[in-house]
Amino acid sequence: MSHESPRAADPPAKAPSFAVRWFEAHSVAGVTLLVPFFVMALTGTISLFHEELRAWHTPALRLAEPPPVHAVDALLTGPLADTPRDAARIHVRLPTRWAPLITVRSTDRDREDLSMAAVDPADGSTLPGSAVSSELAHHLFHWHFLHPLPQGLLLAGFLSVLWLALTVSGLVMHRRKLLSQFRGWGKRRARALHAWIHAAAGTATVPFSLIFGMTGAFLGLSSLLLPVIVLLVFAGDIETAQPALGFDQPPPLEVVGERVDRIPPLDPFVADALAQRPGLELTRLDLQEPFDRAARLTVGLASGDGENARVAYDIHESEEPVFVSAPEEPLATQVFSFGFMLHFATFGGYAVKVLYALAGILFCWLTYAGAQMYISRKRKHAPRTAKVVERLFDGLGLGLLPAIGIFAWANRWLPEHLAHRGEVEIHVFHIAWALIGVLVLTFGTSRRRRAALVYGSVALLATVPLIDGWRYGVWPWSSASWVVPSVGITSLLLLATGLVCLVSAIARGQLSLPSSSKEKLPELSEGR
Amino acid sequence: MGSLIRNITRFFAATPGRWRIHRPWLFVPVAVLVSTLLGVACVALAAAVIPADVGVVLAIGGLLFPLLGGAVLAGCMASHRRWRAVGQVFVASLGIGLISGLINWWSSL
Repeated sequence: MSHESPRAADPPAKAPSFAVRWFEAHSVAGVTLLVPFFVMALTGTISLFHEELRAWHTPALRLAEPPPVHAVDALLTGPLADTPRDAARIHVRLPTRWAPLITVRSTDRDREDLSMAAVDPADGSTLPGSAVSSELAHHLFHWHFLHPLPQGLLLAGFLSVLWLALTVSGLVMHRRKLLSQFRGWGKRRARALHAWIHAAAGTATVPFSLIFGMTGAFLGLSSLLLPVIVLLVFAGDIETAQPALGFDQPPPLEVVGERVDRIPPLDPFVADALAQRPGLELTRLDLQEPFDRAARLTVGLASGDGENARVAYDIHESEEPVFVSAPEEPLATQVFSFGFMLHFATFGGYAVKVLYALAGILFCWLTYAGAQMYISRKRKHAPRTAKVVERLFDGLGLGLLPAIGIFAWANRWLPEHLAHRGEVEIHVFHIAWALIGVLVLTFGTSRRRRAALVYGSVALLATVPLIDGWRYGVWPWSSASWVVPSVGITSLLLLATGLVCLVSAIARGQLSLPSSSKEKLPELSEGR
Repeated sequence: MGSLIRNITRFFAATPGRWRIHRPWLFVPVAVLVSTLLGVACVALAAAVIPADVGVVLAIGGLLFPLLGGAVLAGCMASHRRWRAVGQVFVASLGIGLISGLINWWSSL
């Protein structure tokens, strides 16, 4: 008895057309990238402004613009005296335009935080470290390159290559209608509308796709490139390669084990470092093994146009520097800086940042439209796949939106004197995101639930300026909000977005009670 | 042996009669890795040919290799015989890497 396999019953293979093959390649690559790309696009758009958002999510930073700091001893006496004696490192961050405080953080040998303090450079008053520990936007910046995941940076690099493949295949598919597709945009509905949004947003953002994909892959996969370059250009000699690549370091520190009670005055070293690199400003101080005889101070300097320098001293031994970074950055470092600058829009001022942010929003939109296209296409022939993709995208992709809203709420409602407040906020954010993901994966999703996720996020974020006004007296229109202008602008934007969504929901009748609740019930309970 | 080869071939082959990317969970990561390998091999070639400054190598190779990798990846995925295309890219990467090594060795003599 012969068992004929189902394969044998299939019709003979037919050579697929060029268009079909590119469409399938684009579709499969797209669905692989769907959720991580949405997360990267959304967090990347927010993190374009992560420096500016520091003041918004850290109420203690709402201070006047700080004066330049050239002497630190008078300001750091208290925080350095309070540093635990088992600290292996003390990081001092000098004030910037967007974070106008001096922060002093000490860590142990496992890089765990031991203490945190902040000093107002204007009057030298000390603030509790927990008041400045929140890093909401900075944490989203980490999520942009998937850093919280194992080997996240490398994964982000591979996804960037896949993104470039999607750009290429999209261009090949739409090569004959790149311009004509922008006509007649108001006449489409449902899947045709999603297809149009996907194609039009994709075409409009091709230059940005190329910039983000190329620089993202370059930055993410540099850990693969550098060993090859060290091997071929420097014959594997890492000592020669380091200065050429801009990774030159001070000589290794050898702990002698002889303890000292106090840190000597740092001002002479700071003054010497400023003299070594005239024209640069003090940005940070890094003390290694501060209570050992071998303690080393590294002074970080920078200029407004991106020039950086480091000068290191063995502070108990001599006032002469043991290391001074090269006066000019090697070309390799400049290439990395150029890639970073192109990727994060640190050139051309706010006009470029806003342009990048608009492209980021379009990326989120085209990802959403692409997901809807794939789901509606698969629903007929592969309903199970469609269901899984839809739940994954809504739970982990769109679920990120309310999780960010909850992150912002935790930022406002957690007590200011709570130890490790920033870490608690990050835990709240991760738990909220995971919970939303699990709920959507378990109970399914629908158009209404998707709308609830989006409107819920807008509601959460739009109420934060009101909480600020109620709790701290910092209303978006009050002068306190405009000491650091990004605070006022962010609060007004969030409030305006909330109002626009509210008015739009009322105008579309989405907030009115259903006239016949019996008719609406099945739709409400619909879960795919 | 024959049945083993037949089973391996069947594992990688597309379903007859309906062209689609077969086992995308396997094909997509492999294709991404192989196309990235090609990009890295091209940077290695640039490093071997342009030994003047590592910055020039990074500028030319580093910023362009993702585009090359992305284009090759798209081509592999849309190819009529995808696994064969990926295999060819892998062999080409090894070949370019070998040539880079030979140039580097020859120039160091």
